[in-house]
Amino acid sequence: MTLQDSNSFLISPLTASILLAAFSVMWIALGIYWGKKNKSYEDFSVAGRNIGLAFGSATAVATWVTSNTTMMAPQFALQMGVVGMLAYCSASIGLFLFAPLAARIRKLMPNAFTSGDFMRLRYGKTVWRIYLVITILYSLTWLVSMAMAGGIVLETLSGISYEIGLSVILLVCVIYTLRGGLYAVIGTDFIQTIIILFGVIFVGFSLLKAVPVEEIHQQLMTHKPKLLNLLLPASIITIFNNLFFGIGEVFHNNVWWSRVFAFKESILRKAFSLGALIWLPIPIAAGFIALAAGKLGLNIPSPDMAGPMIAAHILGKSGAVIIFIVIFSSIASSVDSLLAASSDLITEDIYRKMLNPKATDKELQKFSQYCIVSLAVFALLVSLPRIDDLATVLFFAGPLVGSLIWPIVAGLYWQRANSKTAAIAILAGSACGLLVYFQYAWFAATLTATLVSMFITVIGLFSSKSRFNWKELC
Amino acid sequence: MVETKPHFTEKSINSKAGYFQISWRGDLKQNCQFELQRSFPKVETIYRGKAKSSFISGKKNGKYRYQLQTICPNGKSKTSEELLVTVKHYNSQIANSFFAVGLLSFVILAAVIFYQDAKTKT
Repeated sequence: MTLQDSNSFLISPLTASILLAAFSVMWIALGIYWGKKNKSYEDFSVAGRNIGLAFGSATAVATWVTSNTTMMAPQFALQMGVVGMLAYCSASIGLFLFAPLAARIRKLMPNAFTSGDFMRLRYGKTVWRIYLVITILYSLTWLVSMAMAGGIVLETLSGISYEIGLSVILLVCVIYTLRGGLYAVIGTDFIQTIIILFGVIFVGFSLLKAVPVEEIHQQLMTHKPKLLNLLLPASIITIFNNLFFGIGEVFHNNVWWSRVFAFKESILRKAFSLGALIWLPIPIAAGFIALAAGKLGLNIPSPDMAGPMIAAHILGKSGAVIIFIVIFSSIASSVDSLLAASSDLITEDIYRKMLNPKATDKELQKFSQYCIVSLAVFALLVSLPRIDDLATVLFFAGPLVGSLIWPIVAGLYWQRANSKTAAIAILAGSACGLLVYFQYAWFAATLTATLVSMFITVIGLFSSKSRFNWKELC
Repeated sequence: MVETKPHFTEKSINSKAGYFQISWRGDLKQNCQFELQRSFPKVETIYRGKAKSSFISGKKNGKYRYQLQTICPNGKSKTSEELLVTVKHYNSQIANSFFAVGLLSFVILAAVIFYQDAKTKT
């Protein structure tokens, strides 16, 4: 079969601009509405510590359904077949495992603001500074990958230029996050989750109606048998690499810790577990459509364009509108979370703890808002040259976050865990992971980093004589 | 021959996971298209259109040769230089080792969290 170009630009730039404007106005209006609840910096940064189960689980789903889920799950399926697609689903395990940790964190630190608070109080300043470098680098990488995804989607579906698309998405998220803080982020996440779930279900059923599974299977068997091979070497390496990357992302990042401090204590376990459960089938639905590319006779110029391109091709103009809205919602729901959580981290851990310990609530909020704008400008400037494909950009941070898993778990449960071991585990894990990233394969790097970090942490636990006093975390 | 021949951006590609992206350069006049062909063992057209890249995946170990030309209503360009793609998948034993070690460390991590969670709850 000779592959052809898809009917590109299924939505006219005018329709896309109207949709973009309509949703932008809606998110900003909701941001302003929820922002009215903010009476203090605590409200702005941790939403008054009073978020219930519905909003809690919805924000967990929306934040985790990033552009990476809607665009990288198809990329994984296209590159590494069925196992690659399932490997992406393993990211939900990070949320499942975080549920008990969340309860523990809240119990130990009922009044904390950020993940940085834990690292500083538990391990001291050296580990805290290493942690800050890693988490800020990771957050910027995540932010850049999502901004890039926004630009790619708009360009693929409507012909709006990549530069304009990513600029608009960043601008909208900045405005409503600035106005509403975490209240606005969690509130919009609730609506975005509903949109994403309905959209994904609609796309999934439409695809099954348009192209029977048997035909996709037959086409793959004939032309791309390796994509059905459950023992494809690259795929089986990817499974646990992706799993640990997901775990590392959730365990270390302030996006998730800020939610721990924002949710009511009684719903923490349920909210994260429910969020994981709802999230689990989304990458399967998103990834499956990429496997239909061959059957549809579509040329895929770049793997990160596969998802929106195939879905829009199957569903036609109205479908393309739905895809557009779903992906815009998924990107916005993560960009806003990341802007809010990263700015809180920088405000709390760098501004308040290092630069201005006597800062007032108003000064903190002001600084946090400057951070939100600066982060968005940075993401914009880095995204503009469109560096590499999405997976490569994001997975560069994998070894760094993988190396944090064990020091965090050990720090939460063992009094024996100490700062020297934690620092060595993080640095050695990151170094070995990055070596594998550059010398062997990006999809083995996080696993390597996690393993090295685990060995050092466990050895440190057995040889340590220190006994940490949990009350120091309060 | 009416068109200048297009050319691949790389002379050869090595893939260890069975997927690769072929990119090319060339001017395309209106109504003309690029034609990407697999050139060995027999010439077979795999893509015809205006894009300047094609992502290919699911390939077995082996050598794959591709060539490219521009086709227009009034003729074709010369075919480009050949692109050689060598697919040699990662060693299965190493991959299986990664899988086994990954599984083991995941089981340890999950067991530690649930055990400690139960212990600290009480």
